[in-house]
Amino acid sequence: MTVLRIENLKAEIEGKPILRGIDLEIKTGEIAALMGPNGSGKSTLAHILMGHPRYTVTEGGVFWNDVNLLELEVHERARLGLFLAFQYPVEIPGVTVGKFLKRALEVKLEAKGEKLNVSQYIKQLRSDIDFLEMDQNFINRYLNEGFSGGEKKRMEILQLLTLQPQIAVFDETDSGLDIDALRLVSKGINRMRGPDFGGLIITHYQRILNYVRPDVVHIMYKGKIVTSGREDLVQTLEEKGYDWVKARYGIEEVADVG
Amino acid sequence: MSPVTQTRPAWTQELRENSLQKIQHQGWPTKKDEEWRRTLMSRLPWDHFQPAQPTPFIAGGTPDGDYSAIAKINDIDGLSFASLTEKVRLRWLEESDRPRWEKLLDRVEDRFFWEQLGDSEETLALDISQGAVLEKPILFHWNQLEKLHQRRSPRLQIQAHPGSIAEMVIKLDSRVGVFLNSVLNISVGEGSVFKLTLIQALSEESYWIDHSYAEQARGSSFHFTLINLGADTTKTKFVDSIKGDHAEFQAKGIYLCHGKQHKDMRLVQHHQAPESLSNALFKGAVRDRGRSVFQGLIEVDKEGHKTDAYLSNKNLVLNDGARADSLPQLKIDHNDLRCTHGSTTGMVDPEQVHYLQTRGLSDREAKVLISLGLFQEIIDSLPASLRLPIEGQVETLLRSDA
Repeated sequence: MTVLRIENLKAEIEGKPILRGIDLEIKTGEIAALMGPNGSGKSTLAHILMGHPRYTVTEGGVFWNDVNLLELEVHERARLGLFLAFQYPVEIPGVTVGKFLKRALEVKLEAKGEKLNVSQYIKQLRSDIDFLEMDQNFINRYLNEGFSGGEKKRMEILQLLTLQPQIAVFDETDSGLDIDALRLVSKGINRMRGPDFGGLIITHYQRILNYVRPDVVHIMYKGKIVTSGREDLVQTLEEKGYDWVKARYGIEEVADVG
Repeated sequence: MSPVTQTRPAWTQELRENSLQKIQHQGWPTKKDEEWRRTLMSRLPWDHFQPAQPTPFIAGGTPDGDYSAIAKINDIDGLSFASLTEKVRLRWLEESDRPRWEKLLDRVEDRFFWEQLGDSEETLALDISQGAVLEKPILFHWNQLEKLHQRRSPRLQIQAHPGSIAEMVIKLDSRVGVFLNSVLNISVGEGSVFKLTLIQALSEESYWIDHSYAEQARGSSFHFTLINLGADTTKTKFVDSIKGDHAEFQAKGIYLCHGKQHKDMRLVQHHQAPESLSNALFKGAVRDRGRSVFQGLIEVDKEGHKTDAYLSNKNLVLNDGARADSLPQLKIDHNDLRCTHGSTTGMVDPEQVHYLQTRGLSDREAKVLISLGLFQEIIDSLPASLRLPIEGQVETLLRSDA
């Protein structure tokens, strides 16, 4: 089993504190949901786990089993088996989806001293593309260039299926998706589900959680996890809104001090 | 197979003597010459290299599957030529070629050009017959295999005669350091379509100076691609003159500089006739202490109404210390036209690098992939048999240690 343990994590961007002491565990065999209003720091947490250079960790730690994740380079975290599905995936002109995925898979295998079976790779890729109901021409398109919002999100899920990480963080993967795209994205995440995979689904809304039912739910507000529970917490939150969270858990409104 | 005859008209000797005369009055370029402002003579150790003997013609070779005709020149075997078709002919200059060369004499004021024409090396002429349609490209492969410290002056006239459709690949290779001072004199005949790919992959102890001039007749389409990979220092100039209406010129370029490589390229899209089109796209990546200079010029004469011309130059600077200069220029004598140019020079987008890193690629790997992506559209436009090898060479250069 792999456990990603976040301990009292505090972080800032350009001197402005965003995370104010996060404690959280993501484990293989479990899908967790992380909900919270805009600006509560959910996406910041996702980027810090992956090592985005713009954010600075000021206190606390993140551990991948016994490995101090924060000491690793971004690509080393990925090679351990951590994956982030981006809310806004970047476009890479001139690099085809097929070539990019092949290279990403090659470096993953090289790290384990293995070689890529190219025909096997192409077969699997074609089948995954069908599974996500994407056009086979995607293989020859430049990565995310000119993709619609829904295509970009499906591309992230295609990468998930190709790279088979142990732990994945989905940063508002549901945002901007119509019902068909949401169904397909959820289908992809559910296919990963199992004893060797753990996920953290970051979202505002209940919607995606109707398709990918979480084992555990965390509510984040102003840089802290304020409460955690089971699936029924999603329903309560949907009915009562975030004001209920504030009242229920006695959060005081504090002015942001830079 | 076309024979290569060895009779040479007297005017070629005159041309050479005139050039040698010019050298007496023409000093080496200095920083005061606009086109030489960014490439110092001290980078070009002309005197360390000795003039070489003219290349003998030995025998015909055999074209391989990818080409319809192959000319090979190297310092060991001399020149060989073989063609599967009568429609491609290689010969020495003839009387009828004279105006084509005399015109150049008045145009060029550059010591290297005069040194080139003054060198004893003979001028080859390649003809693609009128109306010929070639299914496979012609290969012209120039190679310096083992003779050290030689100065070589290959000079080639190419005529795509009216109504012909052909592709040609010129490869410049060397295993040893060589000082290559080359000249191309190209004419693209009326209604013909000619695609030329020029690949420079000389050893990194080599130097390359090139002066190339092309003329297009009405309704012709000329595609020129420069793949500028090797050598220590290169200084090249490619001038396309559109002399007939409704002609089209498409120019593309890929260049890479690493270590201390220095590549200075001049491209001129000269519109001298109405309703013609030109489009240039040059892309480069520089790293280590490498430096590139791209000087592009769109020039439109007063005859060039309804010209549509575009010039784009994109550079990736892969680390501090590397440098790319982009100098697009317009010189326009007319209002009734559309001319635009654009240039971007910058580091690799850190968000792109980060994205690829989150998929397991190292910083270096990510930059290699993003840089390759920059060149992909140009690689995809090459003759099919060149795409994979050129992509491989570009990738190797992006990956290699300085």
